[in-house]
Amino acid sequence: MKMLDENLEFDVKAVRKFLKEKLVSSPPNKHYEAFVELLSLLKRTVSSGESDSALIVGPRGCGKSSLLDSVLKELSNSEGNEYLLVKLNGLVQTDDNLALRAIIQQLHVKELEGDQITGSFSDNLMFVLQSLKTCDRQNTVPIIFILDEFQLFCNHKNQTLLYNLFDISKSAQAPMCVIGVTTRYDITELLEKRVSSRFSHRQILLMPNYDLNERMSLISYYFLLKKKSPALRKVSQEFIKKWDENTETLLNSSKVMGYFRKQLDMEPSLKALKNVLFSLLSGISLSNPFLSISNFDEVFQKYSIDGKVEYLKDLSALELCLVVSMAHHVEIYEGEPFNFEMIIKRYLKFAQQNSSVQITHRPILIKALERIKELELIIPVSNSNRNQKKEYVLYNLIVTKSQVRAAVSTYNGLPTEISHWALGNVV
Amino acid sequence: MENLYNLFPCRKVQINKIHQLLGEEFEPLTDVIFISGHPAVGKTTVIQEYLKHYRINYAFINCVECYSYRLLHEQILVQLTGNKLKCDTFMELIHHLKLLVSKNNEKFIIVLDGAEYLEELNANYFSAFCRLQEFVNCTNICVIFLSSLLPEKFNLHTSVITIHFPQYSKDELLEILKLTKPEDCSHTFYENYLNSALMIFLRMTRDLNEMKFLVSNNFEKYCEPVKKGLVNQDDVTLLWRNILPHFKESLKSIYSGLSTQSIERYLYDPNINEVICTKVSSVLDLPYYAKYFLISAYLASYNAPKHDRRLFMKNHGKQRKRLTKQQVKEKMTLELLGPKAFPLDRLLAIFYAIMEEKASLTVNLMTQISTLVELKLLTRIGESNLERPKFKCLVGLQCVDTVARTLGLNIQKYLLD
Repeated sequence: MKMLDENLEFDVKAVRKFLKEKLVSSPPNKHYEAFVELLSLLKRTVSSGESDSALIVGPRGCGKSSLLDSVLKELSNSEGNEYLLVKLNGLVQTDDNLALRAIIQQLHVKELEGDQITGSFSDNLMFVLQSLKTCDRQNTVPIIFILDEFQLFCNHKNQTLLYNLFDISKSAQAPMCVIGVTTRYDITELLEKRVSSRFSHRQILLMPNYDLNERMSLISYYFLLKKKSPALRKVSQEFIKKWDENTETLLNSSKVMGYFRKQLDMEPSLKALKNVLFSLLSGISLSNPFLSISNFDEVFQKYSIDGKVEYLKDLSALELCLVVSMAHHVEIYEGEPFNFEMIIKRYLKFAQQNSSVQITHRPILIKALERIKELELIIPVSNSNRNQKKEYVLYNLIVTKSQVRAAVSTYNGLPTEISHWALGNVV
Repeated sequence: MENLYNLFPCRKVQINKIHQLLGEEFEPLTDVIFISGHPAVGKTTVIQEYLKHYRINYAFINCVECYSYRLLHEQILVQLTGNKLKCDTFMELIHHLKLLVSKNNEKFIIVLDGAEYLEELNANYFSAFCRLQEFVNCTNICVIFLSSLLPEKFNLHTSVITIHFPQYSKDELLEILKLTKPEDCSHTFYENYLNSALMIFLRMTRDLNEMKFLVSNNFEKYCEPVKKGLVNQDDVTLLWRNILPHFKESLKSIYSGLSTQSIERYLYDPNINEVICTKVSSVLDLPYYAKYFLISAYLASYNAPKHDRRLFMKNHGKQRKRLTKQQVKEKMTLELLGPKAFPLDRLLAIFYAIMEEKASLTVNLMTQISTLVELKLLTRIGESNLERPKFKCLVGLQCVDTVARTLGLNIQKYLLD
């Protein structure tokens, strides 16, 4: 029996590890047309030395990066293609100077060998431009620039980097291809005129995938062990078979399909899917070696509950009363902002009608209101409130009436008079 | 694991979830975990104790402390590598982290507490840390955000795995507070005490720290009659009757960090009648004329100019009766906007009206006004207007009333309501 347990433990661990590793890697590419287009574009640069530029545009999590990854993989697999790759990201290279340093680093420039490249912006720029310009067309290795979060590069001063990169790609100098990746469809509007005129205006648009069948096949790709892989050699065949059968029946059940349908409607991005799958895998343990419907129930719970309602339910009765007062105020005055003074007045009116509500001490009410403000359940209307008494600063409530009602009706141990007051009609 | 459960009662579900995501050796980590929950529900301590317990390499950074990029980056590196490295930009941070993970394949976890302050540092930093795994190109690194705000408040570009720490319920609070039991009393006695305390305080606050403070403060009072031998230990109702006034008293000091002892000291001191208004004591030290200016400013802010004639002139005729209807309307606007602005001339006029003696208008007198502005008791509106500056009063009635009393002035006389 103990022997069996150990075997099972090994199997579970190996399978979980294998699947997690599969999950963090790039998924197979689904955008075939874009794949062909991008590949031919890069091939022209790499093998015939043509310079070009293009933008990949698509919402988050629609497979832009995995498209690029698969194209680059394909490119490096085919023979005789020597190229240099420079990857920049707008979140990391926050200004042109850093971007230049990263370029020099990634091009492995001999003269500047070492971890850190220093020097002023103009020096670096001169250096890079010189080295890119002086080389002749035939003998140089083509360079592929990939600019992720392209829209952030547009915020750099004068768009110097973009200008120079596009300029070189337009003129007959070193062969290079500039690929920008962005989520903004209006990206060309952000470019300055002189930059825009040098850009090829080739855009590859990607659409997210809303098809449930495709989504389900992706999930089975991630979750089924069918393909023999060396990492799973030591796992017993019996376990693999059982795992696959179990997972397949689960994935085909209408409840699980419904869950993924719901997720697809709410968050179509790939990252959201991966997070859900990761949580599911993490739930697998020795005592629970196969996925079960309860795992799915738990993970998908977050799509059925409202975070703000949970937050309201975590407030104390006094704080909830104040939020209710705000909701009433907003309802009566049709969305007008309020200040602490009005809310306190409204609350006290309620408190006087109900003798059991004892808390009417003004400093405490103000403290409670400040706590609500700190949790950002209310937001000040304007930012410059330094010259105002804090009781008179205007706020907007950012939870809706129905959220407050939902919180009140599910709050544990709320005195009945408060729930009556909160759920009753105000107008 | 058992140790952790005992250390943090009522947090089993959350600890299990964290363990599932981080605990397994040699398995890839998820890139981001977002932990949210109200203040004082154990977010920080749970995660810190967990990481310590399992000896995972981690850097714990409270983002409030990091007002510059450098402080943030260098703290992360010091805690992860043990070396003090110079690091100004995010790019360098990634470079150092890359070196670190290439050397050993252990797990590295960066915990960023108070993640809302990260956004203040740089709007893009949150997204940047969300993609740290991608940048460093290693799945052994994980970023954990802790925040008392909801994840949807953040400028999230990707979806993250979230763990919500719910507020403790009444029973859970009871269980946790039982751990604070002093040694020299019985279980049932302390439990009775906690039950009665929670009954009163729970409506006000569910904050564990606050509750602990209140409970420990009042326990001595609760025990007093028993120690004196007046009440039997098991007589819950009598004990309840004894403690209720004390509870009600400490309700007033909730959130303000004052112990009941210090309140009592104030209560028996006849000079101070409001405890929590901290402005009172400092205002009392104002110069003589400044006090008059403050009072006049208050009167100017809270009375409409058209009533000035009636309030401050000796022979104003009789119109007292007709005013009642208009007042209702005015009250509404006052409530909406708070104190109203007034020009300097009006302030001076009221100042001379309420002062019995003659004071010549010199520079010295005028500086008193600017002193009040500097002390933020008044505020100046519209910086551009040099000729006719306008002011607003920022203090409340309580405060002005105390100031007026030190001058022997009855402020109610000059107020309409």
